[in-house]
Amino acid sequence: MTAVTEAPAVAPFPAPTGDARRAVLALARVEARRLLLHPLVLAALAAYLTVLLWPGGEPEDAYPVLQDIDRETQLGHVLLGPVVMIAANLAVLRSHRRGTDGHFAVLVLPPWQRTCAHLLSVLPTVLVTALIVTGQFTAGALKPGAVGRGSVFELLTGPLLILVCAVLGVLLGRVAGSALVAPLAAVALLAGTFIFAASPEPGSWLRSVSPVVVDDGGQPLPSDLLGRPAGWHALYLLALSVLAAAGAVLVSGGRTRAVRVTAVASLGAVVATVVLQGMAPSDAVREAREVATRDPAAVQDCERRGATTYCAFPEFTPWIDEWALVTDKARSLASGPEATRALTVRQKVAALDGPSGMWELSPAAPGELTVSTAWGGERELEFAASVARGLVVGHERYGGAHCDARGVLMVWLAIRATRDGATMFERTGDNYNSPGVIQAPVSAISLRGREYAVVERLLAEPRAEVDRKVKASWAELSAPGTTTDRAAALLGVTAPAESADDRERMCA
Amino acid sequence: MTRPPGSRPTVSAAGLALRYRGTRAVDDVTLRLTEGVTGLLGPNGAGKTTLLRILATATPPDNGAFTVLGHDPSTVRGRQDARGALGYLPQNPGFHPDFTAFEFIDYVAILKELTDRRTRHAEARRVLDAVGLADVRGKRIRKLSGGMRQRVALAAALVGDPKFLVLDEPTVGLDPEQRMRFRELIAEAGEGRTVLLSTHQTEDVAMLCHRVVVMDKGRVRFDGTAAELTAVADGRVWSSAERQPGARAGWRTGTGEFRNVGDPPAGARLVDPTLEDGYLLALGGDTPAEVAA
Amino acid sequence: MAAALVRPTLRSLPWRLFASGWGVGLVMAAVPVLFSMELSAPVLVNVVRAVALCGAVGMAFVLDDPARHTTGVSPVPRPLRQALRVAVVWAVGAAWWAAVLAVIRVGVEPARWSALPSGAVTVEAGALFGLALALAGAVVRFSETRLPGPAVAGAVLALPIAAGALLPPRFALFVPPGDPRWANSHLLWAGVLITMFATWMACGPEPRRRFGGGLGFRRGAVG
Repeated sequence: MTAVTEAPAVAPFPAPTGDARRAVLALARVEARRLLLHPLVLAALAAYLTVLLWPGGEPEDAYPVLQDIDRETQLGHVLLGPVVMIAANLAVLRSHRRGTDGHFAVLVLPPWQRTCAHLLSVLPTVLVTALIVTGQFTAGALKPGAVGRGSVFELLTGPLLILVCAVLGVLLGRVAGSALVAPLAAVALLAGTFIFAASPEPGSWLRSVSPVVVDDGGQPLPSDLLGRPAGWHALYLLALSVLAAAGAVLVSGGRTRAVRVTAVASLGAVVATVVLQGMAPSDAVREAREVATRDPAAVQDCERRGATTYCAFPEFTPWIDEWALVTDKARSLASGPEATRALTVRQKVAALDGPSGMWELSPAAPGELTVSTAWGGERELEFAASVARGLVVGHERYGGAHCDARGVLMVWLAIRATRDGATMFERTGDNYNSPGVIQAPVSAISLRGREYAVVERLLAEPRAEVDRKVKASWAELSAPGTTTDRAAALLGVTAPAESADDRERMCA
Repeated sequence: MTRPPGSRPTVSAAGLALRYRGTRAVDDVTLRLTEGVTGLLGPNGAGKTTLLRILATATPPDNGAFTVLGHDPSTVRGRQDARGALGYLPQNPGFHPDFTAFEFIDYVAILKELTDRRTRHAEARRVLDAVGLADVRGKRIRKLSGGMRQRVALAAALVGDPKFLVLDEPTVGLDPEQRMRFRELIAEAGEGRTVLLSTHQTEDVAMLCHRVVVMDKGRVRFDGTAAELTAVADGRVWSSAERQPGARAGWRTGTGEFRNVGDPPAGARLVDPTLEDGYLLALGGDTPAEVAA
Repeated sequence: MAAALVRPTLRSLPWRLFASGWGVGLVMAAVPVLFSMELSAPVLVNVVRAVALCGAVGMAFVLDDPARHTTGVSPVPRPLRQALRVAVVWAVGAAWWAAVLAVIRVGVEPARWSALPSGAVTVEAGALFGLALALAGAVVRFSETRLPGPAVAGAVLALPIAAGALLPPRFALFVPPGDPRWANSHLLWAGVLITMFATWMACGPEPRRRFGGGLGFRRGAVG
């Protein structure tokens, strides 16, 4: 048989508009629309926005610390990402699942360019999540009580997570023809993020390869002490996306030199960024943490307001006005020398182990009292308790429950000096399941059932009346050794008898 | 209905062969297609679908060469050009049930690299009009009837005005009225195009095709006009009162007479053969009943 | 009749899909052993939960029957056909679950193992499997689809995660062991388990009247 070489009888199809690149873009547009409007993606975005915009929230939300809330944008995206992954995977598998691949195989656009189109099609969805993140963060940053500064890289992490997940969905669709693979990968991803990578100690490699570096639990730190490798992490996610994308193109037949080079380069970038993440925090950050924890005065700005000096990490100075309101209110309720005693309010952090380290502060020096790096709601009550302790006791060492007039006085003062003090007092008791305890910075101020009852009774009395009586008997109430019974008598209420539980408590 | 065959071949194949799971699905097939509708007849498993897949560039052959409208699909460039110039309606075409008819055709048009949005949309509307689906353009495919879905598939094959159409059993599962409508569409498509139509229906071929190729066991058994295929049975169809031993096939017709196809005894009452008779005889026997076109 | 159906049922089940779900689950369960991680009881419980979710995602395909339109008209009633499939898959699934717990046990010190409430997490896993079953049953009951698996798998994944993220703390399902809500949440889990089974059984019988459109033209319905 000889090869057939007749001249064609028909002119070739009118110049195939040929530009494959434009076809890829056109396909990407169609797929992008379908992905964004996929019921799964729409539902997930709607749920995410609902949670975000749901009215209510904690009073603390009015005082966001921007270097913390930038990170909070990420967790939602870990849940959103798998949804986008499944939707992108279904889009890639569509013609396989619907039996059109027999037909589509003979259409002009080669498979690897279709893969490119699918990869491009995820970008608008990523953009939408980026817009949501921007909105979420901007709303936080515009609050009058906002302090600190956010990191672009932390903010980028959420949208990059969506990108990684979506690209992985495309890759999985090209590697395995089953729609089960993506959901399983999603479970594995979630388990990896929330279970395995969330628990090991900081700096382990598991943490570096995890989609999100979870730092949870502690209180906010000044932004220069965070030491989170946010930039490297964002770069890691980007490199991972590029690697998966190049893999998807390679698997579907686009074995061009450029794609191979991209794959190798991004693999290198992935390895490099994992290693670089593992090297954080830098020595400079460790040193800064050391200083901030052991000698905060060296790096703080101070401001004098009347008898009180406020020393805070520079990012937190906008809150001095808020602190001053509480301090001034507490002083106005006191009398005698304590009302005008010079005090230094010092902000303290326990930064040695980074943002998720244990939060244990050392007691303040004499004449100083401690304020934490969080504000709003119960944190105000806790600070007020710290001020009351500074005025009444003058030190922050924990010696047990306060079983005397001073305990009653401090807690009452803290509640009165706080906005919505009574509510916050009740809530803090509920939250820690320990009524009568205020988790003041450094050490808690706790009452026994008996003193707690006296405070409750005082709160039920007319406010002005109690204020007057406190001022009148301040000296006796604030003296060590004045009993609870005596305090109750001075303030016009009765104290219940000591219960068995009360007797078992260690008293300061 | 038959048109004079175009003089010059548009699609030529020589010595095509493909083994599939140990059997010779296509075995040394040589073909020259010209403008107009060519019917491909054959029993199940004759290799029709495999041959069509080869010619539609979906599967490369193990052996042999072919050209589609002057493009050689054995090269990457040639395959791309060939694909740009052909339309393919596979057996059991799938559908994307969530797409509207228009979206589906538009999607196919993109994959055919029609990149200008306006011309592409115009083209999608044109082919949907051509198959009579203008009214249901915006309906999701899951809501369309079987006949309509089949027409969507034909429209998909017509996108980009391909000069070579490969249609694999397009009329399977259609009711007689739909089949009639489909014949109309295919006949229209055959004007100025090369259409290769695989079917089980000899009526389709009799009514549509200027040329018939009969395949069995991977080989071409007949290649000629419909009249020539009918002529294969000239003098080999007769009627009798009872079934006759020389008949390769025979059945009692509505008139009560036996109609026999095969080698008639002397003095048999010969009747006019049909295309189907010719087809049956072309299939029979071990030697290909090839007739020069 | 049921006995005669066991063999064809065994052959018609999508074992590869189950196996991939269970395989991923086992790998996940083996992570603490392989990397000799010392995980606390709450974390371990979460590992077990993730493993259960993998199994449930695989289980979503239990009622997938490409030949549904053929078997659908056989004289064997649908509840019996479904029950056979489910019984066979759950029997193997139970063995898998036992293997998962065994693998977890290997990686944990005896003291931690005793802190791990394996009975309670088994109830959770059962409820997740039940969810997959109920959803698949409902899809089969109310639609003509032959392969409810992919959609059900998505929902099986989405619902527990949404429940974990959105349920108010009082009705939390995913509670760490030792939490005061542990007992209550497991009453809730048991309730979910029973409800899911009841839903599946309610969806079992063939409807007397069709919902939605007729069969229409379905690719593959004929062969």
